[in-house]
Amino acid sequence: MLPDVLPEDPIEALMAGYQQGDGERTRALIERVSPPLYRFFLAQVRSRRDADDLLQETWMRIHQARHTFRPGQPLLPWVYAIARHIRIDHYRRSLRAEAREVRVETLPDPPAPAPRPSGADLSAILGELPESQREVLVMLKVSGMSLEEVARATSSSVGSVKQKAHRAYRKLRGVLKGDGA
Amino acid sequence: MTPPEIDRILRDAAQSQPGPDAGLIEAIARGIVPGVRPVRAMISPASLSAILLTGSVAISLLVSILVGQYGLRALSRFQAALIFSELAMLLWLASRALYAEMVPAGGRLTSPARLAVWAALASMAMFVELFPDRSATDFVHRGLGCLVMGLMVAVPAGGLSALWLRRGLVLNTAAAGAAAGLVGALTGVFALELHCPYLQPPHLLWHALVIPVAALAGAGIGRMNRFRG
Repeated sequence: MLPDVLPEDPIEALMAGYQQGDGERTRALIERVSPPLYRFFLAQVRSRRDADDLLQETWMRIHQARHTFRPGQPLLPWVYAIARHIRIDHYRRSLRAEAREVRVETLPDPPAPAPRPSGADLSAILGELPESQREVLVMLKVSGMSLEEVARATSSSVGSVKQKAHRAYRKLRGVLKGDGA
Repeated sequence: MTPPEIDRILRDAAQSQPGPDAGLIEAIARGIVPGVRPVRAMISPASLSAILLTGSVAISLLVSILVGQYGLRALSRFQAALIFSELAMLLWLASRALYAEMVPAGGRLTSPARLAVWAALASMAMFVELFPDRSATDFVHRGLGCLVMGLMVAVPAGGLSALWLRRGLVLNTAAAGAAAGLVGALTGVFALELHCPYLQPPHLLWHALVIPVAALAGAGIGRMNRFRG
């Protein structure tokens, strides 16, 4: 009989419970990991509905692949490697769907110019960045992962992660200065 | 604006972002928790490397026994020790690359394609260093024969390695295919060194060529999503 789940239990311990078939720890893991994962998606997709779909798809994939997590390793890189792959798949699918869309005869009125980032809207601030820099920054600053964890999740080196973060900061400095923030 | 100021803005923006609906989390939990069963954790990378290394050597030995170990007889003990220990080390690296492709965040050291290029160059450098005879008698005919034999060994060995991929979760199918192809290719080169008695570097170039060709073929097959777990 496993002891009760405590709020300070590390997520790796909850994952071990998930692998052992412990429902209580599985639920606790879902409740702990889902909010940062959801924000990771929300910062990179167009709508909450897309983020909802991606979160559900990620959990389905985690469930199928839970045996591939090795106890003793940090959990977040493993989770975000899966999440990142699902987001990329989603992005490719949406590109294909856009390519299939029918061109209309008359163009609708052009949309109003996008408001400048207000400083509080994460997706608007990060919207100025290329995919790869945005992804790295969200993992570092929103999900609170270390450089090593981000490098592992993205199958790249720590140096490459540092470089992307550095370039992202340089670009953000310009964006936020223009906003007056 | 300083990095700590940007950090603060990002942190504030992240905190003001909405979280997932409680209903969504409940729906996910309801979909997973009732059916959760114990699972056996994946094999360790060291165990997988040991299994693949043993399997590759066994396949090479079996093939060389069937077609003749003329290469092994032509090599001095020193040359054989250097060549086969280098190939064993490359096989170990290839099996680690395979593991990294079948486990999310599996600790990739380098991409399998880059490893294939390095493996071919390292093998060729060893051949040039060990064998001074630069003659190239019957270059194409003999060479093609060895290339075909190496690939014929690489196909089943790579196929068996690819079966392991089904145990994991492959996120990059092309890279996983290249890794399986690389394991197969090195098994093929191992068999060639046991069998082929021609020890001139121009001919041995064909042996080394098995590595990029099989890795590329594996990547192509992987791209067609054959190994998706």
